[in-house]
Amino acid sequence: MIAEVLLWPMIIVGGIAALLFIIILFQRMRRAYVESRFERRRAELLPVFSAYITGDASVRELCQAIGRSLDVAEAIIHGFLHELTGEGRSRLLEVTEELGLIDRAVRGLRRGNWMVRDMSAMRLGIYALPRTVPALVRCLGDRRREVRYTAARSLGMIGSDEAVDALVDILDHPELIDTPRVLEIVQTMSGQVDQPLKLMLASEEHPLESKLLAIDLAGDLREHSLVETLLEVLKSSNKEKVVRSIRALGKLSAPQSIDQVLVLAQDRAWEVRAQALKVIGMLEIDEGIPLLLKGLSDSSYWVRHNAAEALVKLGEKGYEALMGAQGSEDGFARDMAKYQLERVGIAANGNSLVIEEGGGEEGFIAAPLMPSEGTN
Amino acid sequence: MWQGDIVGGYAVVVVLWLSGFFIFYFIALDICYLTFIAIGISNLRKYRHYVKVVDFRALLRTSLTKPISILVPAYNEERNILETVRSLLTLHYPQFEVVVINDGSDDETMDRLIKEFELTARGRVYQRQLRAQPIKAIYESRSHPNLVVVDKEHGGKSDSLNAGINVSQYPYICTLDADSILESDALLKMIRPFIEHPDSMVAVGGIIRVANNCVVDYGQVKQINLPRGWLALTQVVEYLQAFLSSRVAFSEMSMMLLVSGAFGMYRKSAVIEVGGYRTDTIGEDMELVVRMNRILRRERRKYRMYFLPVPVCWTEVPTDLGSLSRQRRRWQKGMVDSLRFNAEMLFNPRYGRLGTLAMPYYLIFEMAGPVIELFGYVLVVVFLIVGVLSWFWFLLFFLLSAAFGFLFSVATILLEELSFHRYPHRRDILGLLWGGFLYNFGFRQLNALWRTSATLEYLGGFRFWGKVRRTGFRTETGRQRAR
Repeated sequence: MIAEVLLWPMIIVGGIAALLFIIILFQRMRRAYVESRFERRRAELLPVFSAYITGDASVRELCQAIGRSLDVAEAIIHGFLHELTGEGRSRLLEVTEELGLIDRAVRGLRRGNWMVRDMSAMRLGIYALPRTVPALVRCLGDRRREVRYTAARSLGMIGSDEAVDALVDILDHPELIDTPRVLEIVQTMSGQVDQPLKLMLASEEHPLESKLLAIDLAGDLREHSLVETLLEVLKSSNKEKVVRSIRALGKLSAPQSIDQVLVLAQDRAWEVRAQALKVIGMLEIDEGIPLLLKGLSDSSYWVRHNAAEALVKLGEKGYEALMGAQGSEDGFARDMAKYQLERVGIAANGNSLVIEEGGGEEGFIAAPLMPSEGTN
Repeated sequence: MWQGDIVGGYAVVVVLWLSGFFIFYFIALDICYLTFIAIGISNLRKYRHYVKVVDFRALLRTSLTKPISILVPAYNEERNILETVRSLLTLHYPQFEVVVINDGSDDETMDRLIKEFELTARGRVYQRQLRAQPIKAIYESRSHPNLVVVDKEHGGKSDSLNAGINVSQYPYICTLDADSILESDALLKMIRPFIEHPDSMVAVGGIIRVANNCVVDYGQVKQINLPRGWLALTQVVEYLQAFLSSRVAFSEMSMMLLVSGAFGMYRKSAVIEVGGYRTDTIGEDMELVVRMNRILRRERRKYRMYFLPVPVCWTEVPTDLGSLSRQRRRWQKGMVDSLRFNAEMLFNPRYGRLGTLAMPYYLIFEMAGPVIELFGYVLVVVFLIVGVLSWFWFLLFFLLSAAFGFLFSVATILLEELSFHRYPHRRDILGLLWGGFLYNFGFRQLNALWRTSATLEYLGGFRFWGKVRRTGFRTETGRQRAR
């Protein structure tokens, strides 16, 4: 009886293992068959597609060649759509319509399986047809977060006025799609971002994280229309907003910001000073050299680091200032200046300086120089 | 005679209790594995879909990617270090630096790096936010501005990582072993969770795959093959089982206690906040993650940790018993260290599922499991000799437990087949199955022996860190690198 108690489970377990093994083999064989068939059909259809795109074949001929291999055709079309623009793209979209692939994707948005809806939304983004915008907008209310996000991304890829409006509207509903995700999509829509970003920066309703992202994007996307808005943000009491705005203005190379940046280089908060000094280097503000030299002896590591890097960016005048700093009483300033000059090939010494935690705003004090062994 | 009957009676009771205990343990362990596999199956489709839909290349065009410092501690890695660094320098990622920390190697690791990458010693100024052994020099590369090599006194892996954190300049760090190769888009895939949860995500783990017998060219794995040796082959199955089922399950249940030191990404400020890596443990990777969980939970901070089986790191596994035994002993001791240093979490509801499920799992099944298993084998032999147990019964039970083990291995192979199917050849299926068979008949028992001896050594107060013999990556020409 004990033997039966053990024998039956063993038989069952063994049987399940054998079944799984058969499934694995079947899966492998099926995949190999499907893939080889796919590649074969793809190889047959590629020349026909190429002929069609160049105008040497008609839609009818292409559709006849495709036959029932819609999945292969779709994969080829996706591949081409990523590369083509203009006439070639239009011709491909024509055949896509003819094959019913777009309608199939729109129907897919209503399927029960969220992965199917997600893939369909992705496909509509690749096709980027304005007529599919209403269907995608409806998907912004899907119960799955992934589908909502893919739909938003596809709207970004379409980029029509209606699509942009929908994305701007969704900014007011962070419970549907995280605002950073929306801004990430917005970032890919060059030339159309100033409106959503202005909205984000002006509105009090959006969380700080979203505003900070909007400030970053304003700088990264070189939105010069937002310079005045960013200058206003410099007056904010929120340190992080000020830091990001300084950075964004630096990327925008906005001359209107120079005066305020020079003032902020002496701010109480080390984060603000550090960023302001960095931007002085980015904007190559020669008047900022005295501030940069002062920054080399700052209590904050990052202020000193940024000051030294900024001096390098100022070219000859900066090098001269750094050479002068090598005679400073402050050991850190001396070594930081030396290191930066080395990087541009002016000095050639290889000692390292360790900053110990101790005093200062960030807990830094300048430690004595530690000569190292075995350096060049 | 009467006394003999009493003793015999007690013996029967003891045997029954012990048998009951082992059966109960066996059932509990199998339920855990079945749960992991079920969660793995339900989630791996999701990951596979994720790879199809998410446009990782779009991340390259946005400014939302975070700059990363890749930390590579290296101790006597002359055979692999150049290949590893070359592969890192070709990663598809907008902004990153590679910080190699030479931990006082006494081979040609440093010389090869200097020659290959035109390194020059610089007086780089850095912040010492974590304690580490003195740095002898910091080198920067003339040919690759984003490569930094730190030459320091020997202090161990944890110490090297702390030194790397000090020298690194970016807010996110990715730790990598010196014998590992990342796939070119691995960083893009790893950073995604940090972009989606910029304030809360503190650690993300990726999957480690076995690179033995794979062809590596220009720092990338060009051809994936199963290893030839039985030892490496069983480790392929073992790694798949660990990463595709239990890691996925722990991550989905928000019970991450381990991010592999061979491939993990962290928010640097979070690591510094908890004090960096402990240098008095050999399980620094697990200990850090457990400690992060403990401290952040205790402070009621909102945080996330995640395992993503999508970004891949290829690594060389030991191919000889000596190296493998040293590695497994080290892992076991490291795990015991992690549990010991963070013991307040055990069975403590204050730490939620981490304290009531994850930590006890590691204690009972990972730490004590090998001991119980080995004790079971010994006991069975004793019972057989004494005549309490019949051979037939023993054989049945052994075959049943092995059958369960083999079932889990087959299920894991199915997981791999349904999700990533990285082993393209048809014969690979048979190879993996053979690896699964060997894993349950031989490898597992050896592993139990090593882990038990490690636990006993630990309790006896010994610490040991040995060398793992490296054979180097197989290059396109098919030749192994010269020793």
